[in-house]
Amino acid sequence: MTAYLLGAATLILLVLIVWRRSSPEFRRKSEQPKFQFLANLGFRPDTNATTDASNKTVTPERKGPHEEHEP
Amino acid sequence: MTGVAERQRIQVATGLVRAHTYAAFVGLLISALFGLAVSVKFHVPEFLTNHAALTWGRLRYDHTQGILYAWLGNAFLAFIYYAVPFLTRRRVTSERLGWIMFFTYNVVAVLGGWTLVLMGVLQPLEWAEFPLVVAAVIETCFVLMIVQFGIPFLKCGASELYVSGWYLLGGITFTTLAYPLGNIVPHLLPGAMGAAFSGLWIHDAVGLFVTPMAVAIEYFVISAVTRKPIYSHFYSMVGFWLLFLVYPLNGIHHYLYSSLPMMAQHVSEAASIYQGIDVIIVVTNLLLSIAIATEGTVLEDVPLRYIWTSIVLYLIVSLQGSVQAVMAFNRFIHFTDWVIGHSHLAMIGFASFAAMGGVSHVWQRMPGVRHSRRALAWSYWLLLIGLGLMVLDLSGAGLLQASLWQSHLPWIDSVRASQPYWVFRTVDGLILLSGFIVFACSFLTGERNPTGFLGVDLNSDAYHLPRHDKADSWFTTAYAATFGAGVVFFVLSFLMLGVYPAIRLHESIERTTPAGAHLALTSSEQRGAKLYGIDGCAYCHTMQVRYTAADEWRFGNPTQAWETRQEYPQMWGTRRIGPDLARESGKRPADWQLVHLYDPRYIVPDSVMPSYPWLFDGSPDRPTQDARDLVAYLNTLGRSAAQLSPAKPAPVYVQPVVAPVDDREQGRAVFLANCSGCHGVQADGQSIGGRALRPVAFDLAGFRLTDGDIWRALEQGVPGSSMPSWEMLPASDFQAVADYVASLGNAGSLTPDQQYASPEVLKEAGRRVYESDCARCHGENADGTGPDGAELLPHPANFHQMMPSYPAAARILHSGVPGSGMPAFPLLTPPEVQAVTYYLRSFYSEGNKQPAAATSASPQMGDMQ
Repeated sequence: MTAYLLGAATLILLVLIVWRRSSPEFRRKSEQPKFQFLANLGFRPDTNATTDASNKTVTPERKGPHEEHEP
Repeated sequence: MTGVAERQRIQVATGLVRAHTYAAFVGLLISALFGLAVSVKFHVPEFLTNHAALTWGRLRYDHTQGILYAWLGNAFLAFIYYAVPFLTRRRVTSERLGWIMFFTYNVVAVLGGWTLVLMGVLQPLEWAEFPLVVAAVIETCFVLMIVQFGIPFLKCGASELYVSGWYLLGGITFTTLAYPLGNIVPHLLPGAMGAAFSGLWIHDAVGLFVTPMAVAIEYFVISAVTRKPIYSHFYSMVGFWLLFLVYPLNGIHHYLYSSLPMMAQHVSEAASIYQGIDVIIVVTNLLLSIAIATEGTVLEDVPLRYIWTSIVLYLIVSLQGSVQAVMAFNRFIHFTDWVIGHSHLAMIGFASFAAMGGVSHVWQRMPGVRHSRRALAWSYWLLLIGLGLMVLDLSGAGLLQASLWQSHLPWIDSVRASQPYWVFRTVDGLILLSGFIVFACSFLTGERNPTGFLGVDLNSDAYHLPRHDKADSWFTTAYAATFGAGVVFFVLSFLMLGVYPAIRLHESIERTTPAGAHLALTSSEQRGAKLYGIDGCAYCHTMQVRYTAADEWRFGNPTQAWETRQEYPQMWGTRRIGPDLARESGKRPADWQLVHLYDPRYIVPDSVMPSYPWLFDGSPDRPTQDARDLVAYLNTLGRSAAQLSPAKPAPVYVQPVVAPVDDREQGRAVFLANCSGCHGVQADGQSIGGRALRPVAFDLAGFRLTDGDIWRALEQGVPGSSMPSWEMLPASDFQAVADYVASLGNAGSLTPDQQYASPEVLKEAGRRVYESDCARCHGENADGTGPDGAELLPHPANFHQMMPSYPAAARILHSGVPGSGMPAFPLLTPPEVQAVTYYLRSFYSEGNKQPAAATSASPQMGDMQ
């Protein structure tokens, strides 16, 4: 039973991992929320980036309202 | 500004952020003071001891509940109020609801809970100590949190929600589900069955409430400070799902080697190890996010520094937790201070550092408030140093305690050995407290922020509306399905680790409960059980003998599930500062327990147990009904099992014989450490504690005893008295104290001018008195085998093995021995007293040395060595 439970949890995540690796659209979508979040904070991210290493493509251009009072 | 523009600016509810932040500071400082007082009591047991409200147990309850609800709860709420608009581009449901929640949570739940606990209205369940009425209020607050924050999250849409939002949503949802399990179910299911549910909540409080909130803050602050996205959002979600899928399976690892079904124990062990893998994924992602965004530079931003530290400590404490759940290691380390170090690392190092990083990040952006970077940086270093020292200290103490418990030494030795560590913990606690104060000051001093708008500006050119396409629906479906799977797993964990063990246990209990087992408690014993819980006894004394060799050797047979079928709620405990009490029944007489309750130092000089003077009317021999009830309850612990399988009499002389110890100082030191509480420093039985016992402590200085008598008493105790067995003393200490006691007896003799008559006359007169007043109990041959003494405990004295001094005999004949069968003979004249004493002394023989070969084949000899 232990194996079933832990195996089921692992299987669900493996399916998602395989899906992500095989589908660029999935990959783009799965990373989308982090760019959306930056936009909510007032930073302008590169929303076309699709990979994990896409951080380098992000260039904050201005302070957003989130940063109005930053010291 | 146009109306449209106004609608597109989502403002943070700054009033609620501010209110919860201030409440968090107050909660943190008060909770830390509770903790500091608890720590001081370990090395100054009389500190704050005269009032029930300030006893160790109740302060300890308020310490942990305060950290969880007053500090972390408020800090998390302050952060959530700030974060929700940025995560969802929506306001929280209602600010008015927020203020209702604020006052309900802080005034009713936290202040009410603290006060009721101090008044003794509580439940002795770990991480669920606030009474049920307060638990109901807290559960209501969790439901309101779903309304307040869950609705914006759900409106946001699964495919757009940043990982912090998922953690916050998951934390609130799963805590709402888990909270009643640990707070209500143990009242409905007794003993082992209730323990299964308590175990779930103990870990869910950390795993499903504290951890998600802390990780949500970490993901939020990293991006907000670095202005860059995290390394991988997908793997952050993998970590999120694994947390909620696996964490609920961990709970029972607090009760390994117990009578809970072994399958459930193995599930928790495997899940705990698997959880470590999840944490590695989460921490790798978080640290990579920081490293890439900052390019490895020093973290100048102090809130981010708090966050970074929290992440590193999250990894350490989680891997430590996984290792602790491995049964081979758990057998050794469980119940020690190691676990306390682990929980401080989790609650301060991981959770509090994350909360501090979060609220200080928020505060730097709050309009119109002061903040001091300098003070914040100071607080960081103070807290890091204080925590580091405390964890090292407690880990060391834990290893030491575990070693001593394995080495078959008297329990009190582990208490003595822990003293320096406990003193050092108070010093660490002071450093932590100063760090907390400086942290709070950093929010009240320094430059003031300008006033203005704080929130999401949808008019910003950085902002863009997310594109919606076909993939969104797939995503939403996949994410929602996985979240649903999390709920299913939670239910499964509830079934597997709560319901299933309960059913199995119920069947097992019905099958194994012996006919004639006397389990029902009288009304007095039930009141005693309640007092036992109220004053926190279970937090120092476990009530479960585990299936380990060390436990069985020290405490007796492992606790069977059927023995606990009347325990509502279970009080198994998870820490041993004092010994386990599951087999306490019959170990000590009631008067010993009463004196020990009144002031443990009266009879155990090095004890750190709190005194309970409010249970007495001024002295240990004037117990209130509460004290009697409590002692009555103590005498039920293990009673059924003892009645069904009475203890076998221990063999005599199981102590290995060692060469005589020619060191009177060693013997005296052992005597002072272990015996002087009852027998007095002068060994005359005149200590406060010794005089309060029934029978009163033996006057060692007034009697000469044979070596055999001394050895027998030391090894087996004296049935019917408070004298326990000291067979666990190291062989050299045992020999030393035996020699020392043998040297104490000053039987003296009479000078000719003190004698009322010639020896022959004295002896004959003494014989007549003896046969008239003493022989029916002490026997015709003065060997303690008289017909009237057969049922007496302690047995009448055997004068072949002890010789009283004339003054000691005169005192006893005049006053009797309170609490024994020995009455007073006040009408005997001084010549008669002298004569009968002279006669008794004539029986004494020094030749009763212990048989030197008796121990060579003893099965325990190897253990002792």
